[in-house]
Amino acid sequence: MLLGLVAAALTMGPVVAADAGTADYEIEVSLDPDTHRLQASERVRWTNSTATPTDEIYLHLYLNAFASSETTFMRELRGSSLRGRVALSDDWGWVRIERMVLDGSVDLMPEMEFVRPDDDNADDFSVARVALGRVVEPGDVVELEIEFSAQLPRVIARTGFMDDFYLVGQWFPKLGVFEGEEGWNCHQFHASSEFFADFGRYRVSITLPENWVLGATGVESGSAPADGGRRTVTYRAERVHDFAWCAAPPDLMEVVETDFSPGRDVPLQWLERAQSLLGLSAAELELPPMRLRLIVPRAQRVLAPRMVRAARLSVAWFGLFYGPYPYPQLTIVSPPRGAEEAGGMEYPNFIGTGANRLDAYSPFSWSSDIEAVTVHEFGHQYFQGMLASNEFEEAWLDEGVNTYAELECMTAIAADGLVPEIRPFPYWGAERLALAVPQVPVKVGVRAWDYRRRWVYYLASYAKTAVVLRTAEGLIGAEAMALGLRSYFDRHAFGHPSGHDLVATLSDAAGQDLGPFFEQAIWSDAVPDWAVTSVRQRTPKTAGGFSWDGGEWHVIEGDETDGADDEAADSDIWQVDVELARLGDFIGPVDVELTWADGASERRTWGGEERWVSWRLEGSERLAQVVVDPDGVWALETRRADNYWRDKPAREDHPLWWVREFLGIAGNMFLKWS
Amino acid sequence: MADTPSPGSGLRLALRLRKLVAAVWLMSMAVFLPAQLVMNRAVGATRANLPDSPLPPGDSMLILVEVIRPVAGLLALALGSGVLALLAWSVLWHGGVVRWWKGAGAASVQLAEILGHGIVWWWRYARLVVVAVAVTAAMLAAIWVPLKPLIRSAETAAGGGRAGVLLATGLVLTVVVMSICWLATLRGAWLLGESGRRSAVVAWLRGLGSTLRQPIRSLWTLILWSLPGFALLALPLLVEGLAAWLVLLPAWLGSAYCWVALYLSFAPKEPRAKPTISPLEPPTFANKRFPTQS
Repeated sequence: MLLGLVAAALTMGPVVAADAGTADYEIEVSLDPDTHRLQASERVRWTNSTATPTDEIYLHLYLNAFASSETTFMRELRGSSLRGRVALSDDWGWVRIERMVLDGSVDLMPEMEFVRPDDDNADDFSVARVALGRVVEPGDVVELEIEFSAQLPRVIARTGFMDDFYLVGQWFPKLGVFEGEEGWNCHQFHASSEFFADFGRYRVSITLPENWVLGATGVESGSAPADGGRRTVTYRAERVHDFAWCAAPPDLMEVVETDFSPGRDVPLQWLERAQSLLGLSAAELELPPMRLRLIVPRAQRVLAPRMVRAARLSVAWFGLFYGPYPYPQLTIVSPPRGAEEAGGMEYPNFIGTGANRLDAYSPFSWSSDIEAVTVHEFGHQYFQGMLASNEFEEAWLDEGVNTYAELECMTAIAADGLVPEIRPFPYWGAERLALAVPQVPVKVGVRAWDYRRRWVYYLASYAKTAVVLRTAEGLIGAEAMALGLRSYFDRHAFGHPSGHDLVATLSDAAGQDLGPFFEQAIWSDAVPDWAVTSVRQRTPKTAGGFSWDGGEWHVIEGDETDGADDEAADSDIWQVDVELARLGDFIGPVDVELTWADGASERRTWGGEERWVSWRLEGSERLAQVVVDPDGVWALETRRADNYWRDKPAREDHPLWWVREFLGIAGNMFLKWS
Repeated sequence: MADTPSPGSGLRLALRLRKLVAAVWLMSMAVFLPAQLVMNRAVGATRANLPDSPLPPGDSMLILVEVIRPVAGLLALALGSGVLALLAWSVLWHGGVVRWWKGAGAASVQLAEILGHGIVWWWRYARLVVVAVAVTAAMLAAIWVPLKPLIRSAETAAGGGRAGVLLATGLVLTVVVMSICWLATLRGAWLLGESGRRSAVVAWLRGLGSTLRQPIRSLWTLILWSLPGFALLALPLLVEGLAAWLVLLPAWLGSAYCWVALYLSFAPKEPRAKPTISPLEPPTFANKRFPTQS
């Protein structure tokens, strides 16, 4: 009933939140390929959409994170690169504000100062505070005119140049987010964090060599010749919180123009599944058509059809299950070799995928990397693109939730055979294994830069969060989970939802308070771990000792045994003591399946509040099997060896069983890492 | 001058050396017994508690990793020592067979005699293996060190199809080089048994020369025996359930037969037995040739 009400509340598309248009940008930028520099002017129109007045603004100057080896970003990177591919040597990047004027007349340059809200690193210049000299009341509008130049770094952390290829992200002075009484939320650029910004309208004119390939957030709205064999191309984007672009000469990259057509690209089985889970009709699930622009190295041209297919499947999956993609266009860039660090990244309407030329050949083509990266990055159009959570403070809310969605989509793609090239891969099994191998208790709900190691950040924000949501799905059911995530999108699209907003929405869909579950799973490092610690079986006849009856002691006949040797006991009743223990700190309900020798089985649920429980059972047969969490609901539990007990041990039926197991793992590793 | 390899001869000689085949078969299983025991002790008890029904997704891998983790070092030791033992055993019987074949007692087939010969010549043949491994590694490096940057640059080139061609070329060359090195080692092993020849390097090089002089025949012999040898080795992995037990023993016996037959296919046509010397003739007479003999 509750699910039905939630389903009925689902709308066809996202609701535009109140802060749409909070920060509007008009930028004119010129790229100099010889020096890898940008020269730009920027007009920012900011509306104080809170109920709190302010007399200051905060600006992100992200490119300054690459200004020296002593910035907070580079210190946290410890001299390596973001993804282990490229390390800066002397190709530093920076952004310098050369002029800043308020409301067309007030020079703000003397009022600008660099601040370090997260640490006291005097060598970090990625955040600037500007005193406005006047109070901006709620609803008031501020207009800033900024002139700046920027030096692009050799590609690092999703931005920069590699030879003639440019992926230009985090490149312009960008407002933080004003959160009313809590002030400005404007963190420094950290090695393990991404971004947070208000929605707005962007109009960006880019001047570059005339025949170069260009792709950007939004859609092209005009193109005009410029001086010196160059041209100026204008892009417009609505309801986005960032703007990125890429450029390259035509002999390096080419553009594949195509589209997403729902009648052609939505798999029927997915439509039926969405109808079933969400309780919506086909008409209610109808998706709009859109343009797809793929910018791909000429060397990877042979892989373009596969990338396009992956993008179409992504649009279909996320559109059906979370809500229609509301923008008219998506641009996908696959960086050339050497610029891989610019791939695997998401910006509004603009994603970086990744491929290797050898992916065109078997057995490398068996790996689903192209699909997985494309699905993941497209998923970010929802989880952070439109659901603009704070990636600095709650990285799990976009990366983890999106990884969950990606794995659901990839599992469906593989199960439905929608990409014939790829081989079956245990997506969820691999994610659980990734979580299990380090054996480190991980707390998810911490700020991105507070993780002691960057790999812990990845483990927590991606793998653990995804497995947490998988566990939540197991506990509340696939239907409630689907409805909850759809509802989350409908409620919070174009806003800044928090982790607690997600929990509240899922709780509503499930009809139960999921707070205790998520408090442990996200905001603590508790680990679920249950075990069958003991099973003892005996017939009543085997009881022994003395009993007081009628004023005298009687000897009880029978010999105590542990049941293993008394198959021949002539009693019809077996008494069984099953003892379970909770070895982990995580408290939650877990199902236990008890199967008798005649095949009859029953299920009990143990709340798990205590450290252990003992159940006495009686039956006409011996107890044959005990399984804790028989359906694998608790994907988060990674120590599973002691969840199983059998009265009669199973015999290995294959002499080389372990060789087969190892070969299976080796095969999966190849599919994952090839 | 090398004799022409003969798979038929290998087939017949391997039948004569059926005790050796049996020994190779038993050893191929015995060397992995420690690893099997470690796995059975570490994992067997846990797996014995698993239900017959399918496990939840990922549980199988998780359980394997969980229970192996405490014995990972021991397992690595068992597997490593197994591989080394297999290598040492292979060196032993290969050397023993050569000395037996070239010896005067070629007509008699005593396993103990072969193994005894193998022990005597073990170091000589171990050196040959070291040479073979070193040369193979060097040749593979010679292929892939220049090829890798070529493939990388081809991946960025417009069209890009060359990357796949280069990769395929590299893989084909790898197979060819490994086959040639394997053949050179097999043939070198027979040459290393010649009297007065103690240099493993020279024997290997002469084995390489013999291989290159008869490339088709050598390769054909290798394919004829190694393909079924590998296939029989892998066959039990493809069979499900208890039937795998029934398949394992004969399949690995067949595989052992293939390896022995492969080696014997390169044996000289006739054993170079010591000439029979009459007690009535002076010792030096036997080494002299009559002018009419060619």
